[in-house]
Amino acid sequence: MSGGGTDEGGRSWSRHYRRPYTVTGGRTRPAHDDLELETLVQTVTGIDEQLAGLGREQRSIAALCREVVSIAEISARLELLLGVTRVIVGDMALQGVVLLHRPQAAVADADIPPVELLERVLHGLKNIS
Amino acid sequence: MPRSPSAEVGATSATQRPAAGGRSGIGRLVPRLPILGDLRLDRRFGWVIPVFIVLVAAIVGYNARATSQERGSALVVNIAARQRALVERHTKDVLLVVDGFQADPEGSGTALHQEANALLDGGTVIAPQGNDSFVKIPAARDWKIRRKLEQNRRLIDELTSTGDRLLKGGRRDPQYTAKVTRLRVLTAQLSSVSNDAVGEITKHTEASLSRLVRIEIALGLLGALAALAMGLLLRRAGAEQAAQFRSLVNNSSDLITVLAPDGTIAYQSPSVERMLGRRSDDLVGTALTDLVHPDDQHQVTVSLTKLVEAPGATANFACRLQHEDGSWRHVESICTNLADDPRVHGLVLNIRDVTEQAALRQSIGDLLHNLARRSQGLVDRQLELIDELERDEVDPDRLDELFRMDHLATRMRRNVENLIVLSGVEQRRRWSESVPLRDVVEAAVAEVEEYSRVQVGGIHDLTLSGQAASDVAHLVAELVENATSFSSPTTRVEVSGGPAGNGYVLEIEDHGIGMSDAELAEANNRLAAPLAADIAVSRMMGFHVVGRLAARHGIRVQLRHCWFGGVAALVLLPPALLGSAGERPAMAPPVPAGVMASPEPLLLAETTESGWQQRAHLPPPRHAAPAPSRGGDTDAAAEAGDPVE
Amino acid sequence: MAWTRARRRWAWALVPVLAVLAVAVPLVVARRLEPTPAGTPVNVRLEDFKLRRDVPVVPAGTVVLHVLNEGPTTHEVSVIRTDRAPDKLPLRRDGLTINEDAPGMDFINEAEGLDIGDRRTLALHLPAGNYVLYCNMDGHYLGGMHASLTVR
Repeated sequence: MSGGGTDEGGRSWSRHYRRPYTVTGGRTRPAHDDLELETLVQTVTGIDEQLAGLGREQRSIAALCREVVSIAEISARLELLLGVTRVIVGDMALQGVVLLHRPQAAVADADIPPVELLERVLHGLKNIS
Repeated sequence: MPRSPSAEVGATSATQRPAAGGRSGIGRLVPRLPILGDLRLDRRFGWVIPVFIVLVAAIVGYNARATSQERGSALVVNIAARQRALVERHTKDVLLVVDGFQADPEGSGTALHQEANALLDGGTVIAPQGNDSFVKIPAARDWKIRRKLEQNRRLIDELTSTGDRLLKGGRRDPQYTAKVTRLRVLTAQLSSVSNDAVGEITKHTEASLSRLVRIEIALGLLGALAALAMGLLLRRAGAEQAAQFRSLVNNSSDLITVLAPDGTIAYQSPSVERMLGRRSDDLVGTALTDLVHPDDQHQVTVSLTKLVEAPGATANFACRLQHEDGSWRHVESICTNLADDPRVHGLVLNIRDVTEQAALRQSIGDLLHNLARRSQGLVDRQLELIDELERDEVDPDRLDELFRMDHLATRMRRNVENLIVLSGVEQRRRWSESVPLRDVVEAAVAEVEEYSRVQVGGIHDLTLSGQAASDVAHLVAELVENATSFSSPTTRVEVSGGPAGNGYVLEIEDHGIGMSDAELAEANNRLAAPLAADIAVSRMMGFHVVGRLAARHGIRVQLRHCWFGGVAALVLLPPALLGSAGERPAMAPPVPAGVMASPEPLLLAETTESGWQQRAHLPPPRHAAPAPSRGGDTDAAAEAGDPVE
Repeated sequence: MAWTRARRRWAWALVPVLAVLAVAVPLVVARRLEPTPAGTPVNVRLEDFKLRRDVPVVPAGTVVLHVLNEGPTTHEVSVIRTDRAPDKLPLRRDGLTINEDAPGMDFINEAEGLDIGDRRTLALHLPAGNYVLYCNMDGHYLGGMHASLTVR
């Protein structure tokens, strides 16, 4: 919700005008593969969302994820579409703004240590700079 | 132009123009006189002119002849009368000489012969008034006069030969008495003959003169009649022409009104009765603005005032005039400043009743609005449905299809809103709070087809009034759509903003083929004055919508050429619509717009309808540095400081 | 008969024609039918200064003189009864004209003022006797304008 209040029909500005495809630039497929509903997202410490050159939704997510939150929860709390949330979080992960944690309960992925995740994040960071 | 006097007299006819009545052969020969102006004479009356010429020539000719004849015959009468005296003198001279006295019978005899000859065949004789002057007399023409004068000559010959014989013989001649008697008889006969001749000449002259006078009187009367007829014909031709024009003016369904420079009606054509139920006489002297609808009075006064200052110029305006029964008639007026024309000396208005057209436009507008509202309802429901489907969709491919439908439906929604605007019915979406300007611009971009090509630069932290937010989003969307449509898919369209002297300017630039000066001018005209009239060219339709939306809020929109070849649309938002964001001062350095569509140009080469897929490659994220934009800092403020006209 | 415009125009044109005829015809006819006075006709011709008559002797009673002046000057014809010789009639004091009042001179009638080309008819009741026809203008008689007429 970013202003405008409601119109005569009770709709909100963002609902009326800010269509989901504009948020993702038309993309529906997240850049990052590993984005399940349960994946946990945590903002990297030290990043100030106000100055980081982030879009509106990214800022909201960064602010929300100072505490670890799952993607499903992000989608629910910020009223974003699931698919859109995944795309944005994926972008933010690649940019190194957030860290992704897979929930420990997933058995099939037991061989991937959290360390590799960190390495991938570092790798991504290097690509940016 | 006429060269001879008779041609000048007769050249009073106008040329026979190939219009009413055609041209007669004579009419073509007669030159045109400026005194007649535009008068046209019917072919049937062309004969009056040559008749007139002939009459005048005849009168002049006869006059000359009569004068010379009279002079001649007076002389002849005088000379003939003198004959008698000469005869008496000759006889006396002869007798005197015979009696031994001094006299000159030869001289008088010669004179007699000379004069007798001159009277008959013309010649020079001594003038009646004196000894030393001579006059010429004409030969006798009339046969009776000639016969008498011939006898006169014969007798004179006999007289002189008898006198000669008497002189030769003298008194002692045995025939003396007989000769003298003969002389006397001849003298007496000559006396009666010359009297007779004089009488005949006089009678003849009088008869001839009276005939001439009668002829002249007749010619004079005919000439007067011809002149009268011509005068009447010319007058009638003039009246017919005036009546023709008057009929055209009176029966025209449009009004013709002449205004004096002070705005009062100097002349009103009678068709005002049909249009406004008022009499033209009642209107003369009143002010035109008395009839104009109060809401239109200002613009009418402005138009007329501007026109008065430009002699020879033309102006148009539309307004409502009040009928006698109180109703209002929509009219359109074309006005010409003819203050310099001495015959008019005022403003000429040609006024046409367009009430029916206005009513028709109104009903079409209502129909359009009706249909558009229904479509709007359907599209809204469609979008709601799409929202629901999107909410629950996790599969990226299916979500992608839903996104496409979403975009399509959003564009449909904008199109329907275009129709609503064009229908002329006043309807707008009002928001309860003001909206950040940046959000408005982003909303606009979301509604265009090729939004991926649009790069939104720095927009300051201003808010837009909730009353105007949707309309501004709509009009910016139209301008951006226009920019993307008319530029190559490989180029981008840039939207940016900056403060201006009297508000805030949004600028939409494309790198397209540009517009010609004429097209630019026409588009700007459409933007400045969108009438419901012609919605012909689709390229111009968008400008029509923009113009209307802008006019609602006092926003000014103008197109300009870009130095690099494209077109820039400038939207000046008045301060009344703008507000500050609250926490931040209004003119803080801009923060670049969000994730929304900021790809590198190179990627666009592959952008098609399914351009979304290209986003799979996320471009390197931007740094916090502000994007290059016109409204970036106060330097740029001066650059963009040109107020939009 | 229906009075169409064409017929009416013809009717109007006919009116002046009829008027002219109405005036001219009686005149011509009257002229033709002018009765020649009964009596013995004598043609008298005046030419130059000569007077000629075609019949020297006529029976007593009505004598009609048809006078024609061939001119060129104006002449007249007078008729007088006298026993004197035609060329020896008495003159007035001016010596140029006949004295009609002299004894033995009985003036009958005259036709005056005949210009060149004029005709005159003089009807006279003449008892038997000797008559002279002459022109009594100054010098005309003496120039030879006289002729005798015997009525038996």
